[in-house]
Amino acid sequence: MLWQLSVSAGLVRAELLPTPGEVSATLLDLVFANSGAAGRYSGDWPEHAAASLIRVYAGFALAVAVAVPVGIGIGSSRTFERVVDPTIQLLRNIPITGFVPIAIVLFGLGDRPAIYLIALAAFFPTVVNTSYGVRQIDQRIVRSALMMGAGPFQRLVRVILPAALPAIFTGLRLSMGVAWVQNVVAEFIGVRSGLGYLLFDAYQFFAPHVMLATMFSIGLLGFVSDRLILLIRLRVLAWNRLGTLRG
Amino acid sequence: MAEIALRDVRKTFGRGRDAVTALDGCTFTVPDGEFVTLLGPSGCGKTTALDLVAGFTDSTAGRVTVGGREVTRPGPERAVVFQDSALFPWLRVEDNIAFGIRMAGRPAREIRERVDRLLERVGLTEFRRRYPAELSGGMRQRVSLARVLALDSAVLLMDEPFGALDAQTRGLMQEFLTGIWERDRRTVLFVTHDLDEAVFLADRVLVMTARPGRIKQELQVDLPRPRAPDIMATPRFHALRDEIRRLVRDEAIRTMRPLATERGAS
Repeated sequence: MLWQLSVSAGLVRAELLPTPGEVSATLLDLVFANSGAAGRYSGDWPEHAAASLIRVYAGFALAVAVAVPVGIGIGSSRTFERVVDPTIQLLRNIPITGFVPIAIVLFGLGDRPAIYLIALAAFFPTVVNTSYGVRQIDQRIVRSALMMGAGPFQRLVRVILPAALPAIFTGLRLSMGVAWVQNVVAEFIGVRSGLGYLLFDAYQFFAPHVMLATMFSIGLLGFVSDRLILLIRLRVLAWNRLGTLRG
Repeated sequence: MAEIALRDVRKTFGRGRDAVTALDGCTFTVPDGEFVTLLGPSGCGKTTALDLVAGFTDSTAGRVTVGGREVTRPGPERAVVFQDSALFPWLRVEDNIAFGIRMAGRPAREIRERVDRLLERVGLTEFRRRYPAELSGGMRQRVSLARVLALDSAVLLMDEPFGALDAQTRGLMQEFLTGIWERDRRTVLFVTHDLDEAVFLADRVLVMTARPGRIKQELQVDLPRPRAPDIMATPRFHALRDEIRRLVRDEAIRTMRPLATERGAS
């Protein structure tokens, strides 16, 4: 509303900030090639979106596959924590953008450095939340399992993992968000596909309506990804419905 | 045989200036098949003694044995009921009860039958598909009881299991536990600070001293069984309870003494 009004009233120059109407028409044309509103980008979206989706989900999966076991290790072993945690806390503070040159040096151009950067960024929220989730497990719950004869593997799979799962899911949601953000950064450089590439290309060729439509679509995909995780959470954690303080 | 025995046990937490000795020279026996309550002022080391028998912690000195064997770690032969149920919140009632039998690797059919029987015994058959969070405190403790009865342990350790319940529910749970115990007479060590509860449930009451805890006195409870709540109105019950009250009061005063002298000085 505010956006449409400020453009209509001439507060912002129309060629710099297209109206929401224009942007939605552009997005539809980007996806379906139905009006030509996106100009030379007409119908390009599905291909770029697919490239981004693959990178984001691959990077995310890689991150989670490493972060959950490492997080459980940190949360359950003092020694493991002393060795690994400082390293993680140190790396966590370096902006992931800072890893771009090294990623290119190590992996060259293309999908691999992009996925590596996404995975690196997505690793931290899940590892931190998983270790927190394990650390806050009620000691009596672990003792219950011990007293009922659960061995180390059974304790891990049947007690520690389920008990930490609510916190792990919080980590997954944060990681997914970070993965989308990092994907755009990764696609600015080194690749010739993906929504980040589309956004950067539209910027270089000065097509603000395409830039905004692409930005909006990235937000939308991020939102849908988050909902997907929430949906899985609802399934897996039926016992732990997300409530608010007001119930 | 599942006799619990502590011989001259000391337990110290922490070290150096922060060290706290919870138990010192603690010696007692719970004979096989007896229901023994452990009573004492708060902070006297009752729970520590129970944790040692459960195998959750090691003693600093002395010996803890069950059935003649030294306790080194927790295990299903020594079942524990915690205060404020420590059920698994992600498992339904029936799966909480089945947990221990599953760990023992019993066949599915047997698990089902035993769970059905236990659910009936604790009166929760219609709540079998609920999660612990959907139950009342009393119901949760009945599930805790069912899941340890499922283990078929020779020894039952209970750490103020009814301490968090309201008086009404607590009374019913005591009656319920007595009923169950009188049927299969396992060895029970029951920690409490409730005098009525200690006398009503027990064959024998152990009164502990203030910290560092050891046994101050042992009293035989010669009330007849089976017991019903109306036994609490008998003169013999009152006599026993009053005697124990005096013993516990002396110890409670000892824990308060620093407070009393402070007040005296000012």
